[in-house]
Amino acid sequence: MGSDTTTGSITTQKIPYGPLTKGPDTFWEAPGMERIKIPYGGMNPQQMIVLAELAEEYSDAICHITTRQDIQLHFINIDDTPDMFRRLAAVGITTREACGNSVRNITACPLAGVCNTEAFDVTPYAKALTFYLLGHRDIQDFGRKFKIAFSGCEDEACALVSMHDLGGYAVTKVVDGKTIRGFRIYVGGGLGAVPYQAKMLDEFVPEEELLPLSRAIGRVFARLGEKKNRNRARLKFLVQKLGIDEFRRLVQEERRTMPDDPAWREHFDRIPRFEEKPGLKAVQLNGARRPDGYDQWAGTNLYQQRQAGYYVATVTCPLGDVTSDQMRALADISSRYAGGNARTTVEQNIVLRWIPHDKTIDLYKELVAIGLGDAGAGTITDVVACPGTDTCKLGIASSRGLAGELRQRLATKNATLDRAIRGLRIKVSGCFNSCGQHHVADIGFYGNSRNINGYTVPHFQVMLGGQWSKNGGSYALAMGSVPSRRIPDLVDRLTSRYVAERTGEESFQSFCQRIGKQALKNIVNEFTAVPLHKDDPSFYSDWGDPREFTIGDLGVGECAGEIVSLAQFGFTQAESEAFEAQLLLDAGQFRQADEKAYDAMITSARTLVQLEWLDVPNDPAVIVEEFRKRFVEPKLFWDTYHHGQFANYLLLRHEGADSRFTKDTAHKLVEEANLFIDAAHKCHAKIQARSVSVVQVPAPQ
Amino acid sequence: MEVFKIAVKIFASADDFPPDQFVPIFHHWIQNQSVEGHQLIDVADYGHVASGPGTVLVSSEANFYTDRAEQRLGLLYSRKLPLPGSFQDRLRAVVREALKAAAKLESEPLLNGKLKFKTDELLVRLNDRLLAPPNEQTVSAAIEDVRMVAESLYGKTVQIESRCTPLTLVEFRVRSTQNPPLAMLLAR
Repeated sequence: MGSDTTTGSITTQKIPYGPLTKGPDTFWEAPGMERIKIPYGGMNPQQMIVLAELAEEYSDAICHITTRQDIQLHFINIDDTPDMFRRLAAVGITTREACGNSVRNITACPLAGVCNTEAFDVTPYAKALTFYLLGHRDIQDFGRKFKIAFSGCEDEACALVSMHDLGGYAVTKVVDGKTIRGFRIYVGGGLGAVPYQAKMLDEFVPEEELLPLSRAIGRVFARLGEKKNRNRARLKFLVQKLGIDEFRRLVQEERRTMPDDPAWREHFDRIPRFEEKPGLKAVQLNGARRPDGYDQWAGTNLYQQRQAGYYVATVTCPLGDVTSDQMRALADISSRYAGGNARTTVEQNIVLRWIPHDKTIDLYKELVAIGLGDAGAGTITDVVACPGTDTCKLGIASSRGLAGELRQRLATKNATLDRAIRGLRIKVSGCFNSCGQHHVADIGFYGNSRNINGYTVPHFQVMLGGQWSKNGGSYALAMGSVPSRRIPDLVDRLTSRYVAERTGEESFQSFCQRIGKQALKNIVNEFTAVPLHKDDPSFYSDWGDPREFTIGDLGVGECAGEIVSLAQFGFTQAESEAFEAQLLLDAGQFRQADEKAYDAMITSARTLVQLEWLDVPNDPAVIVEEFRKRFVEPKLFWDTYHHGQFANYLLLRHEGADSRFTKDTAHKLVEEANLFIDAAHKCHAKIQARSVSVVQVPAPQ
Repeated sequence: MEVFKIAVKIFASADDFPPDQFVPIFHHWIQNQSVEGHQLIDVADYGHVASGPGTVLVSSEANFYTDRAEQRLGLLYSRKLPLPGSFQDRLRAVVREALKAAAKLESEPLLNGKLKFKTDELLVRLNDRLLAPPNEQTVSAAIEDVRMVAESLYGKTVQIESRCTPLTLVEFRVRSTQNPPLAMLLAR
């Protein structure tokens, strides 16, 4: 959108005080996204109906379920938002603090209360904490967002506690013969550009201490968290900087100084009254005739509750999208079958709880009738994707386009897929920020791009071996970038290899560990080649978006030819070094991994410097200084939204390594090296575009 | 009636058109900003959603859907920004924009003439529950204007059915025994 305010088009409407913006470079009139908080994913039928209505009247008739159990509406006119807020408030929904530097939607296991492995139902605690912290004065001064999740157990995936700023597992213990409830509290987890596993803050926090302790953590974060540099402002960086022991000490000290707050008891007193009731009496199926497709659907989409005779039905929502008509129908179905108990999930689906077994057949028929009867929930066909380039300004490649393509291809052969493959999870993000949660997928991807012979070619970084279970227990590692067009073939190859070489019931994660990263890298390398544009132009456009995003139509200056190949050579070497760093990390050689990751960044920086000074000495001090002078200070190595974040990865490491050389510090630097290389590619493309433009534009007479 | 969020759907002659055909076309329209009076912004593809909004061309003024609700393909023009004049003026303008968009799509070279619209049925929807609440009063207030606009296109041959339930938007289905080409309706 342009910034001219004089010509009267939509980009140029007169507004009272100059070009008002509602975010970085986003003009007032530009359509926006409305994120709607759905605490623990819980929706009653009336709320579902209003969400459907708002999508229909103000958006594009689609309710999009996010990976944090929110609902998002896209292409919203800002002038419509007051009406939307009022209508949401009328059914008890707020959008307050759904975005920004605040406590985001508090998520919880969608099976909470009906789960077979939970210690107790975390729902009322998630609800209490949501409304206790909402608008609380102590959490208004964060430097960055703060995400909280609750899970009823540690072993399943449902709430992904390990990747949250603050997470709690339900635990019980017996004291003086009495079972008391509490939470095992973790802090400082997060995905994003550099993922961190949360660290345990407290083995057992009694339930009545949950609200005060959460507030104390918020106060420490507000006081000591980074404020100026957004890229280092999440709690994970503070915990990393202080160390978990010092952070724990500060939180405990803060807790002791906090005056008593009656609100703790007010919220806590409501918890025992929380009760979710079924709408129908449980009756077993008892041999009723099953329609075609039911058994397959039941195999993947039904979960037997711990309450006898009741089931949870997962409604598979393709790419997290539900139409207004479907949402209305689901509200009706939820009322009639589920006692009005529906929840969104972090896998972008909706679960209907408390379905009597004998009603699952009718339910299935009704879901089929509204186009939501697909089987495969939580399987390889149920691909998760963030909005990516479709609507997100940070998106680099089309995560939804790729996810849609994979989903379609896998669904057509789902029946013939090996059982081991069907159980895998694929997650796609449009960029490294990991909204698609690619780090905790068996097979994950995030969007980037590569400049090849003057064309920008959409790519995805391949992430393998993440752990979905144990609440996102360990993260995948990058295996290299593959052109977007080759990703479906790569998935076929990886899964075929897994089936062929799997031993017993070996998980994909164990398989990846057993065959080793070099073997995996070799598979990935088979798919990295990009044909010339004239031979296959499809490589130069993204899935779901046929436009060719390229600077090639400006022409490639002959003078660039030599430099391009030299640069590509340098970047290839850097990528190879980054991969070696991953292997060292995997082997537990953390100091060496750190050093190799640093080497990879130096090689990338040197490659860029060589564009202007071919014979730059291979001396890190000179390279870093020249890189700073030629690329960082003129803001060439610069991202519109992340500013100098990627350059800082090298500059900070060059000042000195983190002398602890732990797995975490090494992992962080390896991730940073990969991002630095991506940024170097982008910088190179920018420089090349500029030089091509210079060739094309005649000098003034 | 103050409502300006009016939607009109022109139905396709056949419903089995491949959903992925419209994405490049709409992108092309954006690149050329080729819909007069509309700031074209983005394309959203919901081809993966059953009976959904299809491919959406988003503009500041309106959304253009290759809508597949009721499993029937059609061009749905859904106005978002206000229009001048009376309700009848606004409805007439929206019908006209819908017809123009359908005609533009029909003549799109990338489709090789394979997509045809029929005009013996129009769907008119009042997409605003605050200004057009789903009740009989709204139907009564709007139906004569809907009839006037329809008769200006088809003459007295039209039949109009209304739909109004507590949960759905107020809708009018205009049916005619005539099925004139889009260009002819646009000339009227």
